[in-house]
Amino acid sequence: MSNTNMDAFIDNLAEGLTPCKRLAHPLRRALPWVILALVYTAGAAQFIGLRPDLAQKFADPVFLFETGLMLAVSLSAFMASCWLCVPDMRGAKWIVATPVTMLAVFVFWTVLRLYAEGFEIPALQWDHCLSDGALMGFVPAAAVIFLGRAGATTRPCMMALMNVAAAGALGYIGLRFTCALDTAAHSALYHLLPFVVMGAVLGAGARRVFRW
Amino acid sequence: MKPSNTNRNAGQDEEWNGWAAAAQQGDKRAYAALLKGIAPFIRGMITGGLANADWADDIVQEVLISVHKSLHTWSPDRPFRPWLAAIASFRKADFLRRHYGARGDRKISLDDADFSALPVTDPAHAGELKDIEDALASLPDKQRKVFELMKIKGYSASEVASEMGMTVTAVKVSAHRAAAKLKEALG
Repeated sequence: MSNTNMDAFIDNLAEGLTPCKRLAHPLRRALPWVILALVYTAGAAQFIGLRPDLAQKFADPVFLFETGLMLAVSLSAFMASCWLCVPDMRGAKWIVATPVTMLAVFVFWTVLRLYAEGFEIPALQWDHCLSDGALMGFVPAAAVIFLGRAGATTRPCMMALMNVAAAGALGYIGLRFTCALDTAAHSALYHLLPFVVMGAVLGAGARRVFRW
Repeated sequence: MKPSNTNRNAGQDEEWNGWAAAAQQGDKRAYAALLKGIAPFIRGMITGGLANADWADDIVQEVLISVHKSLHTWSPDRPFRPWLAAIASFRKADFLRRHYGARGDRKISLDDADFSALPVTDPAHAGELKDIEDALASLPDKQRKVFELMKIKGYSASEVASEMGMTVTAVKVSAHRAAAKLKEALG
């Protein structure tokens, strides 16, 4: 392309310029959606029905550790999603390391529990957890994907991973509050696997979903 | 005294930041100045490692369009250069992925001078192609088929053997004899 053509191309672009509304700081963008997602998950858990032994569970360190860890995963993945909306992530590329590290800790912890409890896989059946998980994960997933599409990510696959981690971790917490089955195999198969599948689907189509 | 690269970059960054902030408010002149200012920087950044220098123009255009689409994501409290560099790297990788994904590296334009000069595409060599066709037609049917499958279509000797109901050795001998006959016929 000659310099004249490039100049004409630039002039065309400049002619089409309209004033734009700046994307707010990622933290400010994330906050309302995080609150909405938390309130929604709490409401959905209430609607589905809280597990009868929930009060006792708040005294169980394993339960507190797992739900606390997943809450941290969800919040940090929500934040990372908002930072990923900016092409250079505002210079904070390290931010994705937080949820990824915590997810790795959770996976390691689950493997340890599976080893301690035995690798017996629960019988495959359409369990209520699948539908409840879908109900609890849908709105947070839609919210975080909507947030992502409003930006301009240069890392679509990482964005998809962060979106699914944010929604999936919240769905996991909601399910732990409603489902009384606490075994690691049940949690891994019915509480987490649907979100892993969702992540694989979103990851495969990430370049289309977050195209700009 | 000449300004150092760091000083020049700092001055340029300040200029770009100012233009970008004004462009966000809708200032078309500042925007045009910004795009014209960053185009050489983008070209310099993406040209390295490109197999075809002509692609640079396409990628620069794609980067400029991306800057246009995502200008709202840049914040004046952040330097413009890293934001732009992230977009340029992304678009370059995207372009190369699409190009090689569509096997663009294996496609040749009919306007390509080198391609037009090849013996098989140059009309001046049309007679040679006819000679090859005649030489092939002069081979016995079985030998011609073996030669076409192995040497033109690229099947292996064992694939041809199972297709033709022959032994692998017989296929290799047949292909060798066909090649020798063609060589003799074509001089």
